[in-house]
Amino acid sequence: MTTGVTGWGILSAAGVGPQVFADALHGRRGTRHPIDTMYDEVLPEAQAHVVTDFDIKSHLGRKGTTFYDRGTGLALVATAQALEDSGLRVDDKNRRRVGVVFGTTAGSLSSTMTFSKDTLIQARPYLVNPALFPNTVMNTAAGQAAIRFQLKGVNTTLAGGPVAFLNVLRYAQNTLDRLRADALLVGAVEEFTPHSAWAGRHIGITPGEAAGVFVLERADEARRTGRQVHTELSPVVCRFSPGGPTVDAVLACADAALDQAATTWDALSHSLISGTDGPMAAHIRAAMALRAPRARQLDLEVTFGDCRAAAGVVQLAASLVVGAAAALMVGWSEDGALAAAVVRGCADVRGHRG
Amino acid sequence: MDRVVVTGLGPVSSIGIGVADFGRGLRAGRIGTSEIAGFDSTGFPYVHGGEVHGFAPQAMVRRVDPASWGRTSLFAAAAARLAVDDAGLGMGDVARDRIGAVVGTTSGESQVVEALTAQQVAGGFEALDPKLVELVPAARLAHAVSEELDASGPSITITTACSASNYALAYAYEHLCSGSADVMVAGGADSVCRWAHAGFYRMGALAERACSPFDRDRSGILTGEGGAALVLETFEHARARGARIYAEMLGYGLNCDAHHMVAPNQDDIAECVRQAHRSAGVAPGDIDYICAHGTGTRANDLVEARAIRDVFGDRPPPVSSIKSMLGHTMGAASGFGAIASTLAIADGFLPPTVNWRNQDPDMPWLDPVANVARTARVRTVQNNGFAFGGNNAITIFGAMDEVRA
Repeated sequence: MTTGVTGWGILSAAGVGPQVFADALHGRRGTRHPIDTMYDEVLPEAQAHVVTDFDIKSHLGRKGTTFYDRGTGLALVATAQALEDSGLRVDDKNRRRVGVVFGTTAGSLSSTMTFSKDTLIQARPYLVNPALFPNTVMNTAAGQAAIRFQLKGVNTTLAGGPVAFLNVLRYAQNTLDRLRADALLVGAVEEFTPHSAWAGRHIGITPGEAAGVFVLERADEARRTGRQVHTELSPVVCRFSPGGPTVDAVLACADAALDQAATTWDALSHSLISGTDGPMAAHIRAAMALRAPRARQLDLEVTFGDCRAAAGVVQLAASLVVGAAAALMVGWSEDGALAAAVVRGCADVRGHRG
Repeated sequence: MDRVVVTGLGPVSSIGIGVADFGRGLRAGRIGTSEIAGFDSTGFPYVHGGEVHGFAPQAMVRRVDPASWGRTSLFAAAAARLAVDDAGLGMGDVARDRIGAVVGTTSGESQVVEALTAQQVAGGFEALDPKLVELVPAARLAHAVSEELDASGPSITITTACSASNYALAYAYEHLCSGSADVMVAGGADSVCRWAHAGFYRMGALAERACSPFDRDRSGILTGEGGAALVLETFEHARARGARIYAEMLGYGLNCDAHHMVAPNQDDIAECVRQAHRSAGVAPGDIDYICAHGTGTRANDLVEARAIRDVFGDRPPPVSSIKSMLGHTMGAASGFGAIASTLAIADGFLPPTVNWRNQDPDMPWLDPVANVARTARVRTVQNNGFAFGGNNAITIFGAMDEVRA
């Protein structure tokens, strides 16, 4: 049983929506923006891969959006786009069977640190804003998505940093295969804030910002209802490499994903990696180029920055935009998490309704 | 589709560390809450919490270096080590790629984030310690378990707040049912932190000294911490290695209120209960004991009690809240609930709700197993977990029935 993507939405350093994302991928649009007016705080860089001029109210109105943190706002706009693009109607008959699965690194670091800061600097340590308390839990975006779009099915948030979205896909595939849901809004978000910018600086990454959401359904059923399936996902492989990631472990994980898809390195049209940059990334690129000589490697971090939890979202979006016949998505974290998956038959997205 | 059994338990809690001590604590109605020492509570009107005093990870873990991990990850790793030892699971008993970890949490490495915040307040963002920044990702909770066990199967952290352990158990169960693993270590971990204490106090949801769920005069939660781990195994694998089986995991239910970020919803909780029963193949009449979410706030306990009545009628099975002893251990809470549920089945007793004085006239149908543990034949248990975000998760455990095997 394969799962199919029937709709999607994305916000990235290219801006809002799949069309500008495609433009940026094809080099027709800049993605590094001046950020000096974005926040009051001093930032470590003058420019960054961010969603410019993002104002949640202009997308979703005032009602209910007042206390969203930035990541939640981005994720919900992407969710709205994905629902619209898929044509999936959510009503009282099916809302218990429609769920949300989002990926994260550590929730909103900006929300937790700001809340924590108040306990240190206010006249009394409990003078925090209770309305912002829910933003300190890591499932805020998924919970708010459920509330806004009235989705009562499975609602899960998974932490995985660079492999978060692949973890999400694996979880969603299992949930759909076991008939625990009929449709899932799967996505991931990484917000750009002073906190994430400085945290990134201290660990040597160039943080990017992105939020993407995809509607996932059992592919055959979606087709039966006459809706378009943008792409089909083979089973995702998630593993761990004790002692840290190695080139061999990442490649073995990719091998396993190809096996799951009953395909070979030779048959790949594209390969996409997201993980910690550095010598290992170069080794993996080289090894993948040798194994898959025909596959075009897309280096997405150059264009969109290191989007961490949303890196996989950028990978899947890129596969859709280039209409990849067979793309291998590979990810790893500095801690040793590994994941890989094959996506196939990506349809051109010019007809996107988001 | 294989059956899933519980073969090892690893609690690192304020009422006991290790299964024997924790079990004694449950039976004795031991109160693990005390005056907070983990952060400076100066200026807070209420200063009680459920801390694990004297947690010494270096004495418990064998492979991970405590200096390289945050407190919550170490709770998870220590609990996993205890659970695996309790299961008598040796390195030769399972292939490395057939064992994985799923850990639930609310706030992950909250104490690390608080330390970074203190650095920011003192010296600006430039002053953040990169070594601390590296400890922040919540995925590290599961990775600490995988490193400790030298396991290369899936290593997943689920961050669905205060029902996260039940989500973790459910996902581990799925990995075993689908044949992608033979053994999964699942549970949850969280650390007491200043910001959660402040947040709950500000919401009016914090108790001053005692957590007294379902009591007429209950006044709120006490924030707690710890690590809870269960070894889940396919029945086949457990039988082949001659493992002791505590209980069977029969199924689970997951849904979302889609109603409010912090206020629970009665109808959706009832629906989650029914879903869990369907999944486990049990009827309400089969449930001998409900290990409640039971946070101790006025609203939450009433909503939970009413949802229970919706499903079970006016004579529900006994319902107790171990949060009365532990406080609210956040992402570990339903993991401790699962351990208590398993022990209830294996040892034939019902854990009490302590600090209970008077029946709440709004829930006369509720038997909270007041103050004293009760000897009982327990065949099937329902373990409740609810969370901010409306994330409901319920797991069902049953006595191992060799006849069905």
